[in-house]
Formats: sequence, structure tokens, C-alpha cells
Amino acid sequence: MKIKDGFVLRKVAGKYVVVATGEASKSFHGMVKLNENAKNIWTGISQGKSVDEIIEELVKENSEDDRAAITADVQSMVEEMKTAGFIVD
Amino acid sequence: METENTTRLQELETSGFIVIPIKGVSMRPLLYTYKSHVMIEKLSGRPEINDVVLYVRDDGTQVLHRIISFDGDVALIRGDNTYSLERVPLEKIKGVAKSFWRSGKENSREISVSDRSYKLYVRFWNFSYPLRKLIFRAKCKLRSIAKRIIKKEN
Repeated sequence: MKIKDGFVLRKVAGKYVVVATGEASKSFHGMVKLNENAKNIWTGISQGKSVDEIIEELVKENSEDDRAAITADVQSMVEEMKTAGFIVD
Repeated sequence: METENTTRLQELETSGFIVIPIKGVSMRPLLYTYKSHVMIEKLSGRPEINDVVLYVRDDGTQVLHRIISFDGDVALIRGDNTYSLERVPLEKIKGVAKSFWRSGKENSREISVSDRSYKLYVRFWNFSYPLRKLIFRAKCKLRSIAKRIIKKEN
């Protein structure tokens, strides 16, 4: 699983956005705003981490009590990113 | 295209800013097609000379060019790589560029409009305009002469 070529993360005015570049920008002209957690998930995937590794990192950063919610968030975001075509296997 | 443009302006209106990829060559050498990105803030107040602004033409096309001067409530606007001025009423201007990423790489440096290097670029580019225009016209003339010669030979 990796981020499809042509999408880059930018920090703009303290916020994170994903924009397309190169070939990808011919078909995707918009931007996707990410919150802090979504940014961490995006960064994790771009670093080649698995879903489980990303979940473990986020649980460490937050709390073991949040594991269920974090797992659901990560899985949901990964699915959304796959559907939107940002992730390839 | 229409929907996409509308969405972009709506995003600018609601978020106060947008980041857009560049399509076209009219802002070279500052911005490169399908590589560079620009962060545009929603316009508040009157834009200033040398601002790179996002405006909407009557046909709905969105354009990102630089303000060269004003004629009352009309901005005279030109791309960094173009040689004619466009008269744009101020109400057509929707946003002002605040920073640029020239390359499409993840580690591309963000260039703010307040950066010294950017200000120097703007000064140099405006200063060299008459010379660049002269070279552009000479190139056009040479190209048309070459075309005529090729036509005659055929």
C-alpha cells in the first residue's frame, strides 16, 4: 500500500492539504484538507507503514483507551483514500 | 470545468484560502504547468500593484496573473510570460496569491510573497519587461519571415 504518485502534502497556514502534481494534476485540480490525525495517517502511508503500524503509533501518541476509535478512524480513512484513488496496493 | 471552477471559488469563500495546481505557461518563469502550486487567500480589501491575483473572466475561466497598475477601479493585469495587458474590473478579482511552491516535489520550498528573493524577482522581472518585449517581438518577426521563406520554397 502506498500513496499514488503525484500527490503531495503541503502545510498551509498551519493546516495540512493534499494537492496533485504532474500527471495527477491534469485530472485532480482540487485540494483535500487533512486534520492532524489524517495528516499522520497520510504521512505513515507515504513512509510505507502498514495500517497496523500506523494504529500502534497513534495509540502511543494518544491513549490505549482510544484504540477502538483510532482503529476505526484509520481504517475508515484508508478506505476513503482508496476509493478516492489516492492509495494504490 | 464549470462545476470544478465553482467548487474552487466556493472553497475559497468558505475556507478563506485554496491551494491550486498551475495549468499553462503564462506565469513562467515563476510557475510551471502541472508542477507548481499556489496558495491563494480570499481577497479582503483592494489588491496592490505586483499582487498575483485570481480573477474570473466573463466566460468563467479562472486566471492567475499579476497586477501591473490600476485605472480607477480596473486593474491592468499581465502574466509574467505574456506581453499584453488585460483590463480586469476589481469585482472580478477573487483572491490574492500569498505563497508558491515552484516544483511538484514533496520537499519543494514554500516561497512567500514577503520573501526577499521573491521581491527581488518581481523587481527584476518588471524592470526587464521592455527588453523582454523587444526580444519577443524580434522572435515573432523572425518566425514570420522564416514561415514566408518556407512557404515560397514549397
